[in-house]
Amino acid sequence: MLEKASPVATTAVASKSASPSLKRAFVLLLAFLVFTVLLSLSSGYQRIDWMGLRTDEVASTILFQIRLPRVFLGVLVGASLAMVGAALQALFRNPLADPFTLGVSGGGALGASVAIALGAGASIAGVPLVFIAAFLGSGAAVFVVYRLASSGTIVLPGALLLAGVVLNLIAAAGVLVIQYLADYTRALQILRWMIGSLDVVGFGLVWRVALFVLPGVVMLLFAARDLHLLAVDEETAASLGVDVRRVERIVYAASSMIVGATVAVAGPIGFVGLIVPHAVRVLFGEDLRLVLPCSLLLGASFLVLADTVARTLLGGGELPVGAVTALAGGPTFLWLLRRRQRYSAI
Amino acid sequence: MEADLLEARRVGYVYAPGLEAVRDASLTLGRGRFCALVGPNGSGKSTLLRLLAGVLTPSVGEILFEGSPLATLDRRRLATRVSYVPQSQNTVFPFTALEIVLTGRSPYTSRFAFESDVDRNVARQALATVDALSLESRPVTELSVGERQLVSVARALAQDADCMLLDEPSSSLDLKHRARLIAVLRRLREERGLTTLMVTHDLQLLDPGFDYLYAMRAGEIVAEGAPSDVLREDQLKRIYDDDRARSRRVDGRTFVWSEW
Repeated sequence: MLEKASPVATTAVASKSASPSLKRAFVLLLAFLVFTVLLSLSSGYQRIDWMGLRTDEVASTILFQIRLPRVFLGVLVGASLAMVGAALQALFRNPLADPFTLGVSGGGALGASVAIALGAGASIAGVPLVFIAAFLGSGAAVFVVYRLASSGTIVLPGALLLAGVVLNLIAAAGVLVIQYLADYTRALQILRWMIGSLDVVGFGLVWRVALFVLPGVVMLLFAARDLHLLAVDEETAASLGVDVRRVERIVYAASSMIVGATVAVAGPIGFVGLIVPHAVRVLFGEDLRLVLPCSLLLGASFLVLADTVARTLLGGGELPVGAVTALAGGPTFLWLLRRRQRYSAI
Repeated sequence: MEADLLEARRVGYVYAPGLEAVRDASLTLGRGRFCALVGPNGSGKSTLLRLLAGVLTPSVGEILFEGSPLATLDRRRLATRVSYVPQSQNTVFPFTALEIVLTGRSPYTSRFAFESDVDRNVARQALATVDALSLESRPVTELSVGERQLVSVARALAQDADCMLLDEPSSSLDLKHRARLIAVLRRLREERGLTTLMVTHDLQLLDPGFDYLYAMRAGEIVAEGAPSDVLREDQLKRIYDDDRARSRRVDGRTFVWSEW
């Protein structure tokens, strides 16, 4: 029925290989990731003698039980948050969208705080309730954003970000109330956790995060082509056969899973989802089929690097990694805002 | 008898309660026809076009493609048969013009592949067809509205469909590119039987050139027929609710204006 009467020249011929620019970008970013991982593993308060690992038990414990899980967690969190940012930017056609600015992290933080205050977070490590609460919080925030975004045929980008700001404020107020009501130790725990850290011991928690994050990553990669078309124009995408509502649902589900899990374990780490996709765009172009996988790799490198800085800058002490990403990301956000004003697309 | 290529059967569309954009509209696009849809602002032309393109789903009635309801067809395969040029494309990200045109090849490209060199050639040819190949590597965010319209039309051309639905594609084009667009569409009709429906306010373009006109007013189709019939003064006064509408035939062309 739908077969073309006369295929006009083009359709059959030529093998459709992955674009060479994707391969080049991948090799470059992969090399950079390997470099940052090795750098992170070898830096820290305790010097590691790579040759003596077999005999030195302290060094091997530090490497395999402390640093390696931490680097792994950094890779997971950074990669997935960056990808969620790229996907949200494409979906809303708004370069300032990311889990943080849309209030999704805030929702997750509120959910996780409730769980911690209720005692489930006595030790954050290995407590699934925090995960579920954060997931629900992120999901609720996503739902509110979704409702706002789909109430009319057109989403005003300003209104979307304003809604995100308001969501964040509400969530922050909620966290404050919970901290105020919770007992002293738990309040302190919430405070420590809100700052954001990749501090883990062993791989138990890391696998649990991976269980949430990896399906989300696969879902977003699956939708890469549709997101590319949506980033260009929603109506055109629909006319090209993209099921817009389905892509929306995929992105919302993947974002709540990824943001929920990462917020639960590492706290709300901001701006990864904002600056990494933009760096990728500047480096490799706008094509979302390139931006999504590249954000994955660069996001991992970025957070591992930020964490290395956080761990080593003060010598013996440790800066919160969320503060490092915010210090790098805040100014980038302002710069983007200024640049977008110049385009004044909206 | 062969089914018409695209047909709207008594369709209606309601954006929100009390906001009825299209009411009981029927039209048929026979294969190879070159048609236009005219009418005052807000009369439902764009909505009807979106319904035909499958971007919106009718509240009542149905759209048929080669006799089958649009709802039952695979959308990506439908996109190889029907292409749609929206009124405006508000791309926020600085995609290059070629990247935009290449999205027209997406119905032919599998999910995890990039466009082939053949696709790139088709896309560049499409840009050349509308005289816009020089824009190839320019970011669309830096193009003028008219230039963006050309890119958008090139994107639909690259889609290589049997039927093009265009929403005011020439509204910001200069004299030359406007005429050229009509010439391109007519040439494609001769070469490979392209079917066209174009929403336009540019009534000078219609006669001669177009085969058939549909005119809408307040969500309903109120007139249809050969351009020389629909563009008669009494018809125009009724369609546009404008006593000052004037129409003259000079040298086989119909000129239309409104006194002020």
